[in-house]
Amino acid sequence: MFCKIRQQLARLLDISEGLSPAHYRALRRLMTFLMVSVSVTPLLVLSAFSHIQYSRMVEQELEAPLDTLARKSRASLELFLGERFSTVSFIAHAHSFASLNHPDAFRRVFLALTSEFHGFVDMGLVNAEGHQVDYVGPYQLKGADYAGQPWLREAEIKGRYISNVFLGLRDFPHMVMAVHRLEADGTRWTLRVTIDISQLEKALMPTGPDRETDVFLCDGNNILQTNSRLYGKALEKLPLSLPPVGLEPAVHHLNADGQQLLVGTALLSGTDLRLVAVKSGPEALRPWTSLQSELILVLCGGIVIIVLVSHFLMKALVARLQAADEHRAAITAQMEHQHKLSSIGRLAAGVAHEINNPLAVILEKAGLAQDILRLSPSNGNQPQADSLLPLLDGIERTVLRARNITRRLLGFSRRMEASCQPLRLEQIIAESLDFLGNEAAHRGVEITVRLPENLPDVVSDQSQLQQVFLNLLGNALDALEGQQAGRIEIDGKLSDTETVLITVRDNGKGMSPEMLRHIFEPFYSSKREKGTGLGMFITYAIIRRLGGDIVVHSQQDAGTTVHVSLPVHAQVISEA
Amino acid sequence: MDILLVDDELDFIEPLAQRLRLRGYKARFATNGEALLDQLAKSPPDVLVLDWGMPGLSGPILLERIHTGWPTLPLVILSGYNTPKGLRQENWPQIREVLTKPLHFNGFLEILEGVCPSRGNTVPQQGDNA
Amino acid sequence: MSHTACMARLLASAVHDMRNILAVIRESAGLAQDITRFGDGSAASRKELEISLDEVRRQVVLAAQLAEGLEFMAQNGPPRGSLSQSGATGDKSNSCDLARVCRLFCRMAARQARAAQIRLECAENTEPVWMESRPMPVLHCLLDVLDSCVSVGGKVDLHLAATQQEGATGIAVRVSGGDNEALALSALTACLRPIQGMTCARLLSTGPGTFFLVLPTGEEG
Repeated sequence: MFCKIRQQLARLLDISEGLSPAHYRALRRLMTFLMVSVSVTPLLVLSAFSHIQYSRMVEQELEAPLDTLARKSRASLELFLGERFSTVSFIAHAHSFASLNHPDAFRRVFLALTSEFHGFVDMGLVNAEGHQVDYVGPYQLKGADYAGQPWLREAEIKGRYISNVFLGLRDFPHMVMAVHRLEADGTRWTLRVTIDISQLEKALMPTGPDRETDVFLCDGNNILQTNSRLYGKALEKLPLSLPPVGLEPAVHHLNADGQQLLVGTALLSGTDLRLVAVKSGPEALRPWTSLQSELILVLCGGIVIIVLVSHFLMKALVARLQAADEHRAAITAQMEHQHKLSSIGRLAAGVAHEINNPLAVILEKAGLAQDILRLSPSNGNQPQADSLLPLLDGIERTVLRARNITRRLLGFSRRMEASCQPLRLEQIIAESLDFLGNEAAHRGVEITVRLPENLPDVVSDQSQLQQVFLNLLGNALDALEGQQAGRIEIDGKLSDTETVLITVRDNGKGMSPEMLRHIFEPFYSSKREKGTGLGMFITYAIIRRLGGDIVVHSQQDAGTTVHVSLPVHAQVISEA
Repeated sequence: MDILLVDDELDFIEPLAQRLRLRGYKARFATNGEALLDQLAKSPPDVLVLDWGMPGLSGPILLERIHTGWPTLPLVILSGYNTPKGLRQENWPQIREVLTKPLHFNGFLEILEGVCPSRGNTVPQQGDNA
Repeated sequence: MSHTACMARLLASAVHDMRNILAVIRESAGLAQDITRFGDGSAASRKELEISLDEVRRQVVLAAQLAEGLEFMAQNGPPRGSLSQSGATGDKSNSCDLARVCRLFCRMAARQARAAQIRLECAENTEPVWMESRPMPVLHCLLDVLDSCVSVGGKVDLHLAATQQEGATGIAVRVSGGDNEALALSALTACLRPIQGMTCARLLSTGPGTFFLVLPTGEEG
């Protein structure tokens, strides 16, 4: 493809005479296109590149705090739960069942507990049979029977139990911790505490409240354990689908309801619980997106400016180029003209010089003949005749020689004579038709010429004008090739006081819009084998030089019409 | 007066010489530069009539040779060109006159006389008007 | 009319005339041959012979003048030392003898003048009238003047004389005789569009029927 562009460019830049406006338009478009693409492409590439890099960086930047938050929260929660659990465990191991199984003692222990640590709601002592024999707390749960309950069983088996958050008998979200103690004497009992979630929630945000991030806990079944700002209260189902949990905290990108979310998760060790920190994508990315939209604005603005500048710059440049080309063509024509003048002069001078010699010969011989007549003794004709005849012969020969010399000049001057004179268009057209008459008749083409009587003479160059009409009529004939009932119509009229308009119309095969665009270009020919492709190109140049204009209309398979306008008084351009 | 004519165009120079002879001058001719130099060496004339545009040895080079050998010889230059190429008359005081062909015969005679006033030859006056 | 056109026309005229001259020479020489061969040696036939030979020589002179005129068009400067008196030096100078140019113009344009029934004459200058100009523009101006007369139908007598008037060098144009005198006069009054290289040539009216073609000096041809 580049090859084609290069060829195209080379063709357009290759200057030739008789330049058509279409040529310059094409050049301008091509140059603008090239300039814009060369300017814009690196810009776009750079933008895309930096966009990718930057978004990657921003992602990382966003992930990091969330990751940190998740870790810190996890650590904080683990500490919280760990502390609470250790306390309970300590109490369970520091006391025996017997010592605890008094309401007062039990209460005392609980008060001591709560004075140090916040979050304990109640405490219960459950015996081996599962009865809660002691209870301290806001609820009437003394004597509750937990026998057979899974938590108790787990506590009894594993020695410890931490629950997920649930509603339970207490009708508020809470969490239960239990420690099972097997004493040396075989007594088995379980110490149970309830932990208030709100304290837990406080531990969720160790770095202070963050309005952009929603941090909460949820369990393995996606049930919220703490209140989530965005996703519901505790014990509601989390509407998000979280990716599977790994041991290490991780940050994931989720798409929920078309919204981009950044989610940091961390598993609380020893539990089924999961810490979730959610930051909305668009929220998080707001600085980035605003930057991005600014950049896009700048990019678009830049591109628009590039396009505008390119367009106007190229317009001006190509206009300049066109003017320069036309100027150059004019100058070249003028130089050719001067050259022609000087060559005429040289030719004339050459002939003059050459002819002087034969003239001298003739003169001497004639002079001598006369001298012989006068100066030699006049007795009888004969001796004189003997000397005279060769002289006179010589004169004749020399005359012929001189005539040959003038022949050159004669031919030249004949061609030159018709340089600028009043011409009857009728005559010129008729002469051109003469040339092509045979061919026209052969092809059965009907030619009609309609020129008004009072069509003024056009002062112009005969041979060039003839060339124009020969070309146009020849083209018309070619277009009618192989066609029945071909017709060529030639009309003329005075389009205004100073201009004559001649129209050559044929009903031949016409031209496609594509061909019409290139019609005045050199070497562009619809006749592959015949013709040099220069016909219309030269015609255009001649007509322009004669101060006229030529317009071609054509329709494929319908015909072609050529309008030629000529000034009545030739302004032969670049001639004096 | 002994006149030496030099021109490559035989058809021109022969009748001219003959016409001069008819008027009592001694006229001989050569048709190229070498022959001219030969003749000059053998017997220099009173005046030399030299065609400028000859092939071979001619023009300024020939002029130089003539000047070297015969610096006082009066010259009359003929030329088919109205402005003989390469001839600067002021450089050569030997040159008395430059004439264009075709020759005006009477004028030619006058010039010859002026260059070298007649020493005993018959010059019949004719009413030539050429 | 452009320079080229002017040149071409003068060239064409000159060539045609030259050919005619050669034809006449041929005929005259032929006649002389016949007289020599078939004549009786009498004084009468000798006289005839002489007349034909005279004709030959006369024609040669005309032809030489035409050739001179042709050389003007090379714009090499004035010719020198021809069939009339020897000219001055000046190989490639920008000057010309207006009288000679005038004469040669009349010679070269003779056929065109004849075609328009214009009698074109030139004064017999014995002295050259020098002017700082190439010959070609002068010829061009003169052709313009002739054209003006032709455009009103010709049929006048045109007399040209190179001369100096009130310090200016130029050509005096006198229109006289003929049927179209009045028209020609009016045509000439409006004559002389600027031509290339001689934009300030002017045709001034200097009296009834006379004009003076002022030619500027030092112009490029």
